[in-house]
Amino acid sequence: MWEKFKTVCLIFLIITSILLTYRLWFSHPLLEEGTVPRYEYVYFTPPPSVYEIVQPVEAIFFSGDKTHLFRRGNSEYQRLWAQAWQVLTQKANLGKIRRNSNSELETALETATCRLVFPFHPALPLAFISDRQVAGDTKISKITFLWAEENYTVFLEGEEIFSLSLPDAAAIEALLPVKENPCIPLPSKFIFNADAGLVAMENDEGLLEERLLPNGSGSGIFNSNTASLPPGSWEINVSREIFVETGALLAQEISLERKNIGREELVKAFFLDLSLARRIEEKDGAVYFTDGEKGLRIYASGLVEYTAPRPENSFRRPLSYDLSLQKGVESQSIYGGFLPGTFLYDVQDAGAGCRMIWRRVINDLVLEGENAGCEILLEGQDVSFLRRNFLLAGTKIAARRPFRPFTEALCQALLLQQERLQEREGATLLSLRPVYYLPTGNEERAIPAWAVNFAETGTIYLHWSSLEPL
Amino acid sequence: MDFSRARTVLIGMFLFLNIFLLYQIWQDEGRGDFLLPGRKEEVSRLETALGTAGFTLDTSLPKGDMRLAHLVVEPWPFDAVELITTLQALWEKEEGPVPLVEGSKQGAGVAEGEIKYSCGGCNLLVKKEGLLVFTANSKEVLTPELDNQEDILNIAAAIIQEIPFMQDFVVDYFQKTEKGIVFHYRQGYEGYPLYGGYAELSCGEKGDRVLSLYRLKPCHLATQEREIISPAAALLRFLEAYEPETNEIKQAAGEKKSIIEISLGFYSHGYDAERWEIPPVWRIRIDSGEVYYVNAFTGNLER
Repeated sequence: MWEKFKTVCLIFLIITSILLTYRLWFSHPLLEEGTVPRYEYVYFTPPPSVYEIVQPVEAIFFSGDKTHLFRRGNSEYQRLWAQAWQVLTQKANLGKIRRNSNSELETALETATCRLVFPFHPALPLAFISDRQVAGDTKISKITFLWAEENYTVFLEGEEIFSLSLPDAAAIEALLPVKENPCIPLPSKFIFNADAGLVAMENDEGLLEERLLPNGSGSGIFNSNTASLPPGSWEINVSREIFVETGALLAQEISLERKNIGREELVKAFFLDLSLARRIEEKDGAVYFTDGEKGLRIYASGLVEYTAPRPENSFRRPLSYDLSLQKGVESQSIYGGFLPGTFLYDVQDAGAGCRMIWRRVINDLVLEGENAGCEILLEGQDVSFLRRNFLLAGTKIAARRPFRPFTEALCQALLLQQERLQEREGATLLSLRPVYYLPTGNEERAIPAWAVNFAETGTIYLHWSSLEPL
Repeated sequence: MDFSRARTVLIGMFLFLNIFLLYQIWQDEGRGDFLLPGRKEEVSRLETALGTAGFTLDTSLPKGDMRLAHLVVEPWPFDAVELITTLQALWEKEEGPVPLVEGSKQGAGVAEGEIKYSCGGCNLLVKKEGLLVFTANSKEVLTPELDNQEDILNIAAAIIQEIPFMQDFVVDYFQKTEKGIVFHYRQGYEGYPLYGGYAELSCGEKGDRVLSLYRLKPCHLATQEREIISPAAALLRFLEAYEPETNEIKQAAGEKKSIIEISLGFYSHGYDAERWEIPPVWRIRIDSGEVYYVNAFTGNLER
């Protein structure tokens, strides 16, 4: 009996010693031991392929006297760029890339029977195509595929000019457009004469054409503004190649819908741990999340704004251009993802980092406006600012109507900005594009518009049908 | 082998081991001075850091190993006219009918988005983020030579017991100043201090009173719990953030400061919002009157 009691007692003591040891060992974390942060790097959408990170502004095909323009969103544009990328990366011998002079390029352009041009803004890093050691930080602003007799070449233009010989016609056969969209290049100069009601177009060789200003002689647009219009001729110089369609451009107003993103997933993407983010419901319907350092505000309209004035990673040396782009698209994939038709619209230097802006193509037109698309400020490897407002096309509000002629749009832009342009009696045109405009404060509809960008005034958006400023 | 003898020896050894373990647990719970070498080292590191920063720790460290969640709060709904008439009647004790209440969005000391109410000699300034500032002249003057701490705390409690809309506040601490005495009150939620909801009553020697009231409506604890940092870790983080200021003060005063309180509660500064979450914090109070809040999740100083 006594022995049994000793056995039970011993078992009891062994068990209690195990329990007490466990309690002593695990009950007190070390002073600086914290909860291990859990990063949930879950992509909303997979990062785009390299050839989708920077896409050309447009594709222009020259064949004899005919020129065809394929803008972003056009299916032919997408096909041509995908094929061009394939040719560059798979069929061309990148090991034989060579530097060229300007005159060599000019000679090649003169002898070519056809050419396909892809201009880039922002620039395409050569490192995306070629070996990083060879490419360095070279940025490409234009890629031109040339068809000459038994000679097929591609020129890559940036600060330097590079060329690559293509093996045979079969290699670039797929780069011949299968659709048409005739266009004309803008002349190098427009002269608006309010007194005569005429617009004259000139190139380097002299007068190309004279047209009556809109609504016949006297011009409806000029008439409505003649009181404030100074007499004489006004000039618009075209600083670079700009193409416009010869056929009618049709468009219609559309309603826009909010892209719903899982709010919890979005908050998780920005914060180390969801339990660290405190939620503040603001009086205007916005919801703000903060951990005391970073702040994420989700507005009732769906707009997302994130600021992180003190990034956790102190490494803030600017990344190279190509790495910045890759980091930018990766961040975009994590913080909400890409919608179909999203493209990199602009890249700007911003002190210790770079600012990247993405826009979307809706119904073949780029949606522009202060709150359209997404903006990311990358400092070092960290996103210190993000503003995202991707919208989806909803129902069509009105019937399709043609865009007013581009000459009328230029004339109207000139008149609207005449005070600022008075000194020079003219302006320098940087770009002219048909777009969708998202009015600030009324984000429920997109209005087709001419986007006229003068070097002196910035971009002006004009209603596609009434030419009223937006 | 004599199994019976072996069992007896083993019983003795395990008994000794268990007593040692129990004693160690008892020590770890703060009821003794003995520490394991690892913990001893950490505490000594904390003491060194405190000494380097010019602090002494005049309070024991509370227990910190627990899980907490954010506290969801809303702004307190109030009727400004009712509040000012109540306080006017309580403090001014004027006989006759209650004076009319006048509200103004303009005037001296009234910023944009603020409203000032007047009722007799009592004023109420409603600030944008919900802070209420009452000023009045009370008929009751506190005796300036109050010395007994308990008496002062009893007076502080008695003052708020009279005010109907501050019944759920408790006395936090008080400070004597040149012009009188300042009582600090706070709200609470489920046994935890709610430092985010507070009241400061400044009583001048001539009966002038200023009551700053920021009251919250606590709703519930958020669902997602998380382990909080220990008070020692909070102190170390506090010292990291406080160090630059300390050097200046040390040079000026040449005196050591003393940490007189470290306690766990909920705090965030005021928001002009519908509803928000406030984090658990370690409140660190210094004998100079400075109060700091260290986020008990992130270790960041809540500014």
